[in-house]
Amino acid sequence: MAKGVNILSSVRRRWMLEGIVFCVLLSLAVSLALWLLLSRWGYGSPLYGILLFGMLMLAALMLFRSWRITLADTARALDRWLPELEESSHLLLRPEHELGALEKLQVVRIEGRLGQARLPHPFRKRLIIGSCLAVMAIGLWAFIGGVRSAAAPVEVISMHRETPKTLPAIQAVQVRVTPPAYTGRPVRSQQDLDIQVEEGALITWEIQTNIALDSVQFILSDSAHIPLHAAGAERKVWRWSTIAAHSGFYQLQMGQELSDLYKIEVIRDEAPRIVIRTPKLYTVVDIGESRKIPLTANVQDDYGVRDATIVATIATGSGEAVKFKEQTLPFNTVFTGNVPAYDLHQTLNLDALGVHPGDELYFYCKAKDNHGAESRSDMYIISLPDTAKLMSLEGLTLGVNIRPELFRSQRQIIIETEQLLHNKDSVSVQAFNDKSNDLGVDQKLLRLRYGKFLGEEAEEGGAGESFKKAGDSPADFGNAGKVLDAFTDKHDNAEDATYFEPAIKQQLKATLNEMWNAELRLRTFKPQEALPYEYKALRLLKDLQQKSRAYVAKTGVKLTPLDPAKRLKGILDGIGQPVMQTGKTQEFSTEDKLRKALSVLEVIHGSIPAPFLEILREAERQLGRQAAEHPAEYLTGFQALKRILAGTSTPTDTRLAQQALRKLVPMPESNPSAPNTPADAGLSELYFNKVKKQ
Amino acid sequence: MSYWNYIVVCLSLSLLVILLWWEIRRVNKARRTGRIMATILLIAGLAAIALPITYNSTSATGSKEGVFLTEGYDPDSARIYLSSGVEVKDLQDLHVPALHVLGYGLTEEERAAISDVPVSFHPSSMRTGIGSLHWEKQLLSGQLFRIQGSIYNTTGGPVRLLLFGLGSLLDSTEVASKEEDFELRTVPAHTDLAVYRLAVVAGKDTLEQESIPVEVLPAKELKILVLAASPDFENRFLAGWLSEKGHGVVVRTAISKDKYDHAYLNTPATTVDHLSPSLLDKFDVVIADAAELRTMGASEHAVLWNAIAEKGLGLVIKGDSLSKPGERSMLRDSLNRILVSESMYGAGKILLTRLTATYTRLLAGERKEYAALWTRILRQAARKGEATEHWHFSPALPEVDHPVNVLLQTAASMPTGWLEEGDDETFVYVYLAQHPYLPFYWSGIYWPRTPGWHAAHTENGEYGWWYVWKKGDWAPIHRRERLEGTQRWIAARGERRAAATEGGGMRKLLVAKGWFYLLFVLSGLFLWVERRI
Repeated sequence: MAKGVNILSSVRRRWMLEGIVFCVLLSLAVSLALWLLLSRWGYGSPLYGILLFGMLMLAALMLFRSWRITLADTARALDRWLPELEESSHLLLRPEHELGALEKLQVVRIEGRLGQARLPHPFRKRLIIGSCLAVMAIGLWAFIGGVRSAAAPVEVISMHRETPKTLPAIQAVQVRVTPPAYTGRPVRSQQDLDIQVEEGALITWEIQTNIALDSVQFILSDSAHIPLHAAGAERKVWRWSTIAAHSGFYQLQMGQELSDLYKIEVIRDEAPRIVIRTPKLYTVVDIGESRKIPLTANVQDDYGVRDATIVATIATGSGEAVKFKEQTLPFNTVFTGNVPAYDLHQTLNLDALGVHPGDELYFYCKAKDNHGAESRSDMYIISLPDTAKLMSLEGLTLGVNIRPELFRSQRQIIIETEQLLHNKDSVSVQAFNDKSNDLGVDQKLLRLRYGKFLGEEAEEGGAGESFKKAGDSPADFGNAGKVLDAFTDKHDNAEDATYFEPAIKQQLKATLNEMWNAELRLRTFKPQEALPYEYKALRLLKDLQQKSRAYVAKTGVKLTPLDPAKRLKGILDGIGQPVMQTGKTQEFSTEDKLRKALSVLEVIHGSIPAPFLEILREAERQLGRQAAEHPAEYLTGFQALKRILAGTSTPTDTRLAQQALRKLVPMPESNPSAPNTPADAGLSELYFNKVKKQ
Repeated sequence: MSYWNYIVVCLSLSLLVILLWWEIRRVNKARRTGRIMATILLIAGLAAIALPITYNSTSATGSKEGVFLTEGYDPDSARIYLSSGVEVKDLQDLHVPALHVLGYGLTEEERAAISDVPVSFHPSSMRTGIGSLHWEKQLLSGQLFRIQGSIYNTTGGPVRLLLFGLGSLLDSTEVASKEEDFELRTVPAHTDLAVYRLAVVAGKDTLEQESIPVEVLPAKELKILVLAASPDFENRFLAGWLSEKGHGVVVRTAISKDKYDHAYLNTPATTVDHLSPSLLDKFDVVIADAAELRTMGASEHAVLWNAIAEKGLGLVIKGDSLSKPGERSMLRDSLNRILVSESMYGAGKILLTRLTATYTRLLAGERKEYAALWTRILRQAARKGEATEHWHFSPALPEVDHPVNVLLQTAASMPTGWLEEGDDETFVYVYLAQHPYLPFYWSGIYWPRTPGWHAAHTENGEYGWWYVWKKGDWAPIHRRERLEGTQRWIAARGERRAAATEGGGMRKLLVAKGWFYLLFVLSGLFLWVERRI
C-alpha cells in the first residue's frame, strides 16, 4: 500500500518539477527576446530584463498550473494513461482500513503493476519546446551581442597592424600643488591635468605611462620644450616640478605623440583693501567739540594681513609758511599675519598729536599682507579752524560792509559765553544761569533779525511747529486754507523770491539753525555745549560775508622786444612750405585676418584650401598668444582651432573657435566708402544731360 | 479620335464578323436571332469598355463638387466638404461643377493647371512663424546689420526670436501679440561670407530655424582732398583718422599768402596748389572751409564747381552758416537746428556742415560716434563708383530645384554667366538674353542643385555671391505667399468670369464604364446559358 503511494507521490513531484522548469524556460525565452527588443530602444538595463522575466514567470505559472497537481490528479491521470491499472489507482490513496476486501485485493494487484508499468511523461513535449525556445533566444542574444562588440575588436586589430606596438599614453597622473607659505593652505594633489594654483606655488607632476618611453617632454604655452627625467630604470614614471609664475597652457609629448592642451591658471595675490568707516573724508572740529576723533577701519586681504598703520601729517601755518610734520601711529591690534580681515579702532587725540587751531591733520591708513603687497587708503583730512581769525575785524574794514552789527553781535555772544565759562567758578549758580539765559535771549534776537532776511517771522525754530500751527484751535479743524498755509512754500512771495540767491539763502538758513541750537543750550544753562554752535554760526556768517567779494591777483607779462627794422615788410622769400607724407601699407592687418578667419571657419568643410590655411594659421598664432595669458577664456577655442587645422575636428569645434576669435577682435568701426552704382551704359548721364538742356 | 479608337473599332468589327459567321453557320437554329443580338451587344460592350465614351451636358447636375486639399488644411472642415463632395487629386483633369480649395492655397503651377471651374478658397489660419522678412545681404565693414520682418504668433504666449551667428547669440527680441513686426540688429564681426541663424523659440521648443546669409565687404577706399584756410585741430584729426582707415588724404592748408602746408597721407605727392580738372578727377570728395572757398580764385572756383556738376565730385563745406535753397537736412541738433545739410548740384552733391569741433569727440574717447558721423557725411558726399557687373537673383529666397531668374547688369557685350556650385569648382554656363529696351540688362534661368553659397561671375569678372536655401526652408513665408497669391488669383478670375457670358459652356462628361461591363457580362451569360439548355 505504502509503496503504491510512494510511486504516486514521486510521479507527482516529477510532474510538478517538469511543469515549473517548462515555465522557467518559456519565460526566459520570451523575456530575453523582449529585453533584446527593449535594448534596441534604449532600455537595455539588466534590471528591466529581470523585471520582465519575473512578470512573465508569474504569468506562466498562473497559466500552466502544474504546481497545483495533487495526488488525486496524479492517480486520475495514471488511470487514464495506463489501462493495466484498471481505473483503480485512486484506491491507493484511501486509508487501508476503509477499503473493502475486494478493494484490498485490487490494491495489491495494481501496486505490482504500477511498479512495472512504463510511466507516462506528459510534460516531455512541453519541455522540448521550452528548451528549444530558450536555446533560440540565447542564440539570438549571443548573435546580437556579437555584432555589437564586433566593431571594436576589428579596430584594435587594424591599429595593431599599422603600429606593431601600443601607442604611448598616460596611465596615471598625480599633480601635487604645494601652495606658498603666505597662503597658509595645505598641500593638495589632483588627478586632473587642468591646474588652478596660487601665485608662487610649487607644482609637481608625476606621470605614469603605459609603456617604457625614451623621452617625455613638457611643452609650455606652445613655445618652451622641457624634457622630463625618468624616475626609474623602467622609464615609465616621469616627474617634473616648477613654480607657478604666470598663467598659460601646456602639453605633454610622449615619444612622437602629443597630448591635449591643459591650462595652468595662476591666482594672483591681491593687495589688502582698506575701508575707513569714521571719520568722514573731511571733518571740521570746532572749538568746544571733542578733540578725540575715533577712527574705525576695516582691512581685508585674500590670505592674511600682516601689518596696518596710520600715517598722519600735520600741516601748520598758512600761506608760504606751511610746515609739515609726519608721524606714524600704530593700531591697537596685534597682527598675526594669518587672519584675512580685521576691524581696527584707534582714537586720534588731536592734542596729543600736537594739532593746534588753524592746523590741519592729513592721514591715511597703510596695510601690508603676508606676501608683502602693500596698499593705502584715501587721504582723510581733519581741520581745526582758527578762531582768532574769525574774531578779527580785518575783513570788515576792507570792501563793502554789508551787515557789520550783526556779525559783531554773534562775535559778542561768543566772547560773553567764553567769559561766562571763565567766571563759572566765581559766580553763583543763579547768576550763572541768569547770564546764560540773557545770552540766550540775545542769541534769539540775533536769530530773529537774520530771519527777516529770509522772510521768516516765526519765533520758534526746529521741527514740529508746522503741525502745531495747522491744528492749534479746534475751530480750524479741517480748514484746508489753514492747513495749506502751514505746510506750503509760498513761491509767489515777492520778497522771498528776490532778496537773495538760493545758495546764500540756504547758507543763511543753516546759520539760523546753528543759532537756534546755540540758543537752546544757552536757555538750558549749558553754555559749554552752546559754544561749538555759536562758532559754527559765526563761521558760516563769515563765509557769507566773503561770498560777496571777488578777488583777482595782479599778474605781469614780459614781451620780447620787437625789431622795428624787420616788421611789416611782407616778404615771404626763403620761407619754405612744410610737406608731410606717409606711404601706404598694402598688407592686411592682423585684425582683418582674424575677421576673415571667422568667415573661413564658416565656409570650410573637410580639407582646407591653401589661402584659407594661411589665414587660419595666423588666427591660431593670435589665439595661442592670448591663450597663454588667459587660458580660462581662450584655451578651448585655441584647442578647437588646432583640431580643425589638424583635420580631426568635432562638430562643435567651429563654434568654439569662432567664439574665441570673436572675443579677440574688437567691434568693427564704421568706415566711409563710396557706394557703387550698377553699369547702365551711360543711360543716366544721357538723361541728366537732356534734362539740363531743357 | 486617336489611333487607339480606330484600332479598337477595327478589331471589334472583325471580331464581330467572325462571331456572326459562326452563329449563322451554327447547326442548332433555335433562338438564332437572340444569339445574334447577344453577340452584337457583347462586342459593343467590349468596345465601349476600351473606348472613352463621352456625352455633352450643359449643367453638371447630379455630379458632386470637388474638394482639393492643400498643405495645412483643417481636417474637420475637410470632412464636411468631403461628405458632400469628392476629393480631387489631379487638377489637370477636372470633372466637377465647382472646386473647393482648403489649406494654404495653390502654387502658381497649380493655378495655371486649373481649367475654367469656379473655385472657392477656404484658407486655413496662419501658424506661428515668420511671415515676412528683409535684410541687406551685402554690408560694409562696420555697418549695422538689421533684420526686419513680421511674425505670426498663435501660441498664445510670448515667442522669442534669437539671432545666432559666429558661434554666439547676437541679439534677441520677444513677441507677445498675434502678429507683430520685429527688428534684430548687430554689427557683424567677420568680413566675407557667413551664415547667421534666426530661431523662433516658444518656451523650450524651437518652432522655426532659418539661415540668414550675410556678406560683409571691405570698405572701398576714398581719395579725399582737404582745403583749409588755416590750420586747425578739426582737419588735423580728421585727416589722421581717415589715413588710419586707409583712405588717401591730401591736405592743403594755407599758412600765409601763397604758402601752404601740404600733407599727403597714404598717397604719393602731387601738386595741389592749383586746382585743375585732371587733379579733381583723382579725388572722390573735397572738404573745404567756407573761407578757403571765398579766397579761391575765379578760375579755380569754376573748375571745382564744374567737377561737381559734371563728374559727380562731392564737396563738403565746413563752417558756413549760409543756407542754400533746395537743401535737405541730414543731421539736426536737439533744438532742431540743421547741423549738416545736403543739396544736389548737377551730378554731384554739396554738403554743408556747421560742425566745427567734432575732434573733441575723439579726444573724449568717443571714437565710435566720431566714426559714425564722418562715415555718414563722407558716404553721402562721395562720388559714386561704377560697378562693372551687378547680379540680381529672383525670387528673393531661391530654393533648391526651383528655377531662379538670373539678371546681370553690365556694360559688357555678350556676357556669359559662369555659375558655380559646391566646392568642386565646376561651372555651369548660363547664356543670357539681352533686354530689348535696356541693353545693359541680361537675363537667364538657372536651376540650383545644392543649397548654400553659390558664386556667379562672367569670364573675367568679379565674383558675386548668392545663397540657395534647402527645400522646406522659410515654410511660413511660402505659405503666406501661396495664400495671398491664391486669394489674388481668385479675385482676378472672378472679374474675368463675370465678364464672360454665363452658361455658354457645354461640357463633355465621361460615361461610367460599369454599364458597359454589365452589358458585356449579361450578353456573355446569355450566350453561355443558351448552349446548355
